[in-house]
Amino acid sequence: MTCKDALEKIGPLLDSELDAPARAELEQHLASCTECDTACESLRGITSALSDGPDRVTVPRDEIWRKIEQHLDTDSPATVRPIGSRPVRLFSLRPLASAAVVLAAIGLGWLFVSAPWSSAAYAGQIDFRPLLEQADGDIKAGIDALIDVHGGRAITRPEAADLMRIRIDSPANLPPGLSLQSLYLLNLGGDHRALGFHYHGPQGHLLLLQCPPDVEQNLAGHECLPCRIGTNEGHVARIGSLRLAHFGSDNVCVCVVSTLDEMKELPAALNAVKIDF
Amino acid sequence: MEDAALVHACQTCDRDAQRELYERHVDCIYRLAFRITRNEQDAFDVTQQTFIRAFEHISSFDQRSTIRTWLYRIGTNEALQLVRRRGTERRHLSVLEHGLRDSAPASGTDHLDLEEAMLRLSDDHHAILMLRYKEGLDYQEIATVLEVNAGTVASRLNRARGDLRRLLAENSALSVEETTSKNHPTDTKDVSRQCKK
Ligand SMILES: [Zn+2]
Repeated sequence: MTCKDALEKIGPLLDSELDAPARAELEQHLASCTECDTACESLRGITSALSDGPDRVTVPRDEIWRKIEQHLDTDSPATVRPIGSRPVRLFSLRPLASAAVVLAAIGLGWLFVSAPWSSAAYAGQIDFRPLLEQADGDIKAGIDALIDVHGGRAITRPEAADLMRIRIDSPANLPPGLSLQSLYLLNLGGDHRALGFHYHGPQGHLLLLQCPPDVEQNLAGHECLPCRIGTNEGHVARIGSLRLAHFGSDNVCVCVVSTLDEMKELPAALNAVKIDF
Repeated sequence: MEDAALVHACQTCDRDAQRELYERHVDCIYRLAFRITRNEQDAFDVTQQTFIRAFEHISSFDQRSTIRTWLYRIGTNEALQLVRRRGTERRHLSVLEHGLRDSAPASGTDHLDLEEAMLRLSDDHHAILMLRYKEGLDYQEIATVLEVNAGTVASRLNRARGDLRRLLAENSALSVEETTSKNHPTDTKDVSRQCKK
């Protein structure tokens, strides 16, 4: 074992995170190497000081609870919904489609399935695993693989409009310096399809997927957390540099795949997109 | 009641169960929020927001982790988002306040030295050290809270400890300088410590 290896393992040793063989090997090195042993003792001092540090906060339990209860009283139970049906603010809202538009949509895209959305089987499935394999690698390749696994192909806007109703109004350019690269049509199983809008710029990638509401998502076991991006509430899985968020209404689920900064760039980009919910 | 049964009751919006879950975990969440934000008002807001979000989305809690880890995850996210939104403004302020403090010990890992060094760490490094050494989470739990893999936890902790050690060394070098140059005005009366009670 080299000193470099040893120094890397001292932390895990002190944290009791080494398995027995690794531990024995490191202890053997420490017994014979004064420098690493000194480093180990110094780190032990720091970490134990960290653990023992003074902790003099008083938790205002009752005050916080009162605030929480106030919120629960005004909002519940409407905000407590099963995952997948969250009529929340979608980017910049556009007024609800007129009856004529809704009629026009019948027979197109997923809307022609008149079954209730409560059954996930009706909403198709989107498998993000090929993309997630590239979460810390080549995002463009990941997006291509995602399109591929869903039998996707690049289409023109008129073609998209012809095949299914476009709910995402996507300008050619979005902040920060993103431009629309391609429009894709994906198959989600059954009669269900999704439209993909791929943007790219110096800051990274943004893929917007217009999916049926309650679309089933395979995130390879990554858990989704409640999130707020800009003014939109939804769920997000954070995997490497990737943000995989989804925002849903009764009519559409918009999946957002992005490498943009979650605090500034992504809200700005989403704010410039209009969704017909 | 077990945590699992409690969660189940919370999923039916049972207010007593919500209160019980809150009482069980609020101290941990508040302390964690306070440690990451270093500010009482922020810790208050983060704690409130964490539980509101947790209750609103508890139906999506799938028992893959413990409820404590799940709450930590929401809380850490809320707190980190808040400090990132604030940028470095507050950190600089805090460092400044701590910098006014008198009689820095010249050597050794004194708690005040340590706190000062902690304040200079990046938010991510600060947070991971808190989760490990204050909250006592193991690597797997930290991985769940931060949504990274266990290997990343180990390497991030190594970097965080390395930075901390370097800052402590700089600090004590500085203290030696301070004590040798007698010409160092310190005002102990005006020290308002935002980060400490
Ligand atoms: Zn060595």
